[in-house]
Amino acid sequence: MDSGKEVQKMLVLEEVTKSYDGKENAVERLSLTVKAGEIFGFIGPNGAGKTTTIKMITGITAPTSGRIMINGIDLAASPVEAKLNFTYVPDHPEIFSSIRGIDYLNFIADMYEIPVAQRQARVEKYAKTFGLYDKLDRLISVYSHGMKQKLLICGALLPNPRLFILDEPLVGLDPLAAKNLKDIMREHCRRGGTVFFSSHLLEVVENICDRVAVINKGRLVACDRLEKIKEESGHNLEEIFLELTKDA
Amino acid sequence: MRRLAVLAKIQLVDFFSKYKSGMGLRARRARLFLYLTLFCLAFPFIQMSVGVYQTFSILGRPESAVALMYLTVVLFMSFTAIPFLLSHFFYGGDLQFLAALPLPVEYIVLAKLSTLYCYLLIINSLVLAPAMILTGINYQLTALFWLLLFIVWLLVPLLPLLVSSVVALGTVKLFAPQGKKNLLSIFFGFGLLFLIIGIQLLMGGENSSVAEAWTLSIGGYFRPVQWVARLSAGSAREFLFFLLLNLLLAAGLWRLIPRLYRSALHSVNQTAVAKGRITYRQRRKAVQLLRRNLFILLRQPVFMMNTLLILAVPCLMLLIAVFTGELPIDLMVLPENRNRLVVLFVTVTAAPALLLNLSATAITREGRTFWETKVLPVEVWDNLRSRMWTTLIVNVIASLLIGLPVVLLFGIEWPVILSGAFFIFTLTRVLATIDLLINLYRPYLDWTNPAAAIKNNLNVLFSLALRPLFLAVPYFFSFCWTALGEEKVLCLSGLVFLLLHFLIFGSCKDLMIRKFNQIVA
Repeated sequence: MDSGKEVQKMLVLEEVTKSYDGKENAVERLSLTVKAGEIFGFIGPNGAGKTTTIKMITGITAPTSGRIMINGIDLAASPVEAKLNFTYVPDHPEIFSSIRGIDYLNFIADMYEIPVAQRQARVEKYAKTFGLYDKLDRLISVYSHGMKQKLLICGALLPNPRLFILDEPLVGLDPLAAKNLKDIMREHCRRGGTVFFSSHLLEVVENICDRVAVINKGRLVACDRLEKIKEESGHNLEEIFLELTKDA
Repeated sequence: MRRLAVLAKIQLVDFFSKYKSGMGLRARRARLFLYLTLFCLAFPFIQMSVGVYQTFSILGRPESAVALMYLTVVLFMSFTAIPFLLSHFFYGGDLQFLAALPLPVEYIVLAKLSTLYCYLLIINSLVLAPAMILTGINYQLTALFWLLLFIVWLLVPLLPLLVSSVVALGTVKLFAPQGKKNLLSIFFGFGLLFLIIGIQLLMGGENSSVAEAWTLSIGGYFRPVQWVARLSAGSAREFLFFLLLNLLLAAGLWRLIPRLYRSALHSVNQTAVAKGRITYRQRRKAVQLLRRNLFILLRQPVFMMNTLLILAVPCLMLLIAVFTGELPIDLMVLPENRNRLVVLFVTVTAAPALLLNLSATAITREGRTFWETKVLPVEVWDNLRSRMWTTLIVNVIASLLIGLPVVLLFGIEWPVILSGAFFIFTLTRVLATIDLLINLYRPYLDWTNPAAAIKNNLNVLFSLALRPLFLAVPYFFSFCWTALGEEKVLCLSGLVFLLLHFLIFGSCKDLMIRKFNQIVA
């Protein structure tokens, strides 16, 4: 990645600040760049501003100041064009549950204008990977927490997004589904896609991320390749994390 | 016992705070609005009770009013209690949590029933108490009798509590295995609506003799009717009978507790059966958004019931008015009544637009799933327009369904139909836009129970409060230019609405987009 060749910037945050009450900043002057083709881990203690940052990146909430670029497109100026470049899996699987699983996937496919043949192939691939295919004809309201999470992941993978954003994606997944998701994330990056995800599971972050950003009290406290951070500090990720966030 | 009291208190606070939180206002103002709403809802019931007392008082039998109101309240409470039990007990979200607590089964069930009991007691205070108090005053009762009447007031909800528990148990046993809980809510909701309209019909001034005969006939088989009536007229012996009966009812309810608990836990754990095939079909974004809005509205039982019930009211009122002879068809079609006929046609057909303020909750309805709509690659304006179109589609279909029988029954002429259609379409559009604007200003997404999204939602009250202003437009035209024909009044009013619609669209589009972007799920 650092071979000197210009690598495409998939996600750029420039001095992004978010304040909900006008007094305290949930996120403060956060700047980071995620390059195409990398798995980027976003970690921090509870209440550090991870979800707020992800909500700003996905357009759920607007930043108070700063700029967010997705694949070179300004999210505030051209939200639809920017949103066509990513999909998002939230930390809570809250989706409209009075429809069937397949209806939800068809809905997502239509939103991203995926042709029928492609959507069928992808639905079958991902729904079977997550053991959901036989349950797609059921109402989402009867799905368990984990099944809803799997459905959301399938829906987010359907458009084959350039940028795949996940907030605590492994929570609620069984070990097999967690392994499958990690494999899919790696595969996605091998094919040129980018993954941006937050997690509390440092072991997972350590195993699959190319680069890691640590956020604490709304500020970025570290952002680099994992090996480099470890080399410089001489500690493992857990020790580094605890050191960086000890005042949380 | 202390744990039971604590549990019952939490249930009560939880139930009534849901109403207050739905208001979405600061505490003091919320309380004020809550009391105001309660008063507005309570007033017709009190008025009915007082009216019945006055009718029977003139006939020299005020205690008959107590008998009739007792029967009414028992029926009304039983029908109200069934959907309440279904939603708060049999399919209550907290039952699994309560079941895991180290509490006796009786405590859990009694705490749940105590909320329902308080709810029924409020109904009792509105329907039976006014007639009872007036009759007591009429017979100049002593302090002891007032105390006895107070005890009766406390005991009256026991019978509906038992009846509704038995009925709810039976229906859940029948329908729950097929996952038809939505159907149950809708069925009992309509039952309650028919009952209210039936009671209103029976209480009508000209029907007091029918009501009395009906009460006497039922009172012959169902003695508590006579006991309560005689007690309020100053006869103490009946109180003992009434007390004994209620002790038996309480014992029956106590024996029912384990069954209620088992059945409720069973219902909570029921899952709907699989349905349909896996199909792949491409649709346009706009169509999918529209479908999503319609599904949220029609597949969520609370929203669907709300929509259907509001639609059913004008239909039922019209049918009742026609069949009871209050709206004689042969007189209405006379040329001298043309003016009235046009007003009737337009009022009935515009009822969905006037009553069904769907856009007032268009954002709120999504609740915690709202994040989804913000992440999708869809223009905000397209998203908002799909919500307005949803309202328009539902309302126009409803207007067609209601308007068609009126056209056929009364032989409405084509010019009136066309000008009326224009009036209704433009009225619906402008109201949908305003309602959506209200909801964008006051979205309420943090609800856990769908009922909270529409019940006591201040947006709905705001939107309803604006309706009379729109009705003033045609009145203004017909008042200022008496020579204008009905069709011209409708067309001119429609043009005003259209103009208003474009004015709001033009001036508020950016505001609506900005407000939508500011909403955080």
